[in-house]
Amino acid sequence: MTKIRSAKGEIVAGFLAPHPPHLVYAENPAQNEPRSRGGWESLRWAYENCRKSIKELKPDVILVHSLHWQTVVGHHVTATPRLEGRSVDPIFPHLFRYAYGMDVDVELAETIVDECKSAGLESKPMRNPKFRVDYGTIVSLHMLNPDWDIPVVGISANNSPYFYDDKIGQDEMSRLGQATAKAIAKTGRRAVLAASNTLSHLHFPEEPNPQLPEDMSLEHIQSQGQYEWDVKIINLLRAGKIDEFFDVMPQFCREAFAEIKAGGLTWMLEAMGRPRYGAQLHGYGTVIGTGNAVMEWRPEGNQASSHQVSGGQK
Amino acid sequence: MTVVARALVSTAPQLLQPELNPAYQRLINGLRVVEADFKQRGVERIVYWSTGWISVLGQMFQSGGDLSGIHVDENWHDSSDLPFEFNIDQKLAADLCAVAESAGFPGKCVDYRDFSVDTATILADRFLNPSKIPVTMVACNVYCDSEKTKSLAGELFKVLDARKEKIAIVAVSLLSTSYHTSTINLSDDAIRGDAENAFVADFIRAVSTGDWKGLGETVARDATKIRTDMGLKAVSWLEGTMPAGKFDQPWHVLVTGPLYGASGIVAQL
Repeated sequence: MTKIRSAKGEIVAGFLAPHPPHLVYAENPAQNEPRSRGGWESLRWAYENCRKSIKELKPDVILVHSLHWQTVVGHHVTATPRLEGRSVDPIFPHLFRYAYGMDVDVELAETIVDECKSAGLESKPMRNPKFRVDYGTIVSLHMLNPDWDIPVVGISANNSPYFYDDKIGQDEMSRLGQATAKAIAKTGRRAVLAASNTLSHLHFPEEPNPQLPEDMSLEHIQSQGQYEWDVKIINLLRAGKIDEFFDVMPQFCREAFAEIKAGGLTWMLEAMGRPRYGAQLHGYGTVIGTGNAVMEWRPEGNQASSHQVSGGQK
Repeated sequence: MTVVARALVSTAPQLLQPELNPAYQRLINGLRVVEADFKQRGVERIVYWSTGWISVLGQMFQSGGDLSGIHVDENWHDSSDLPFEFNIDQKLAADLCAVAESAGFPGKCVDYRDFSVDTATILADRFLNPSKIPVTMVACNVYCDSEKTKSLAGELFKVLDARKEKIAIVAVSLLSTSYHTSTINLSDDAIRGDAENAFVADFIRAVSTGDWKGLGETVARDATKIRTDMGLKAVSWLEGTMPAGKFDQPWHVLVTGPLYGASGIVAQL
């Protein structure tokens, strides 16, 4: 049974939080085994701003939608109190071997599943404590909150955007966003959302310098076309032109092989009520040729430095 | 010649519950036939190539010295705690990686504790390799097309066929990946879609009769329409491992069947 924690839960911020494991590798946190000489600072500095925002907002929970947890039947939600282990990225194992531990907000997770079902969506709680969390979830969460002192909820990327056409797939993610917002309201949580996606996703076919993956002299956008697309999308989001963004999104996904096709950004923006205020761009940078933007949406009343914790929260 | 066997197999967590659908038991029976054949031929090494392990920056070869643990499937996490322990031939992996490099396919050996082995390979090894003979694994490069996949396989075959051990090459792949997208009773599981079923029938007919031209046409015609698994690069991979780089005799298709709507196959080449 859902415990009501405050009169009304709310989404206090949303982040576009790309997940290249290179960013964790470059930071050299104690949890990650490989060591680096740094690299990709423009994106890592951008994430520093996000970390400050989250400290300021003091959310109850961070929810992350990750395309590296792909599910074929419905939307799965982590719903076991504690998940811990070692995540070795099957694609970049030389960069990412990370010892993670996270507390899960089970009550919110179960409520999301219930709300999905009420909305006619397939959904399933993931209650297996031996489940190994995907690297996309871990990278986004680490970059947003390396202290891991805020409970989380992980949401899988149902593969409907790839299985069906754009409209059906993104409609599915919109409904998931609405269900998530209802669950947050119902449980009274102050929630931060994270869409774990890059923008353009065309990348190099080989590691430019296998001896030094963080060789920044070889880092650049893979193609001019995808750069121009990224800039266009960022400008639309900065201007709060949400309808225009959704209008061009299918073309962007096709032409720039954009990772947001997986639905994370659609889920987040829909949960936030399709915000018509501008997003703050914290930074843009490339990782093995892909385009990555770190962006923040703050609803009215939760703006930086003017935020006040309302009464009745936990 | 030391490559003594080749097989195309499909596995998924549904095979852990054969009592729920006779089709699952038939797929398992097919896998048992392959296992027995490997035993009868004295197979000493298995090389897996799986669509469940993808690479995007060059090739990857599994060389894990300590590759064990419990894997939980990302979809069927409520019914699939999979303990696994692989006996990896690290030298074989290194040799394959080196020849790939020299043939223009930049590669990496992967030797990391807690590496995430894919569900399909774990299950293939469980059914085909109960005595834990040494193996290695080759990742499916997303950005290698069929021709490049075949070319890489051909280069690796030269190394494999020059070794003293008897080797089996196993491609782990589905045919179509049109999964059921809503929850079903596993007893009702069947290959989803008329086009998919027609494809499977055409595929079986082509490989069983040695109609390689027809096979190519079938794959090309239906690759997108029926959501073939990675464009059926498994076929190119296997063809590349043939001595002359092309199939020379019909396959023995042991069984096809559903795996949550996707189509699975067990076939010997």
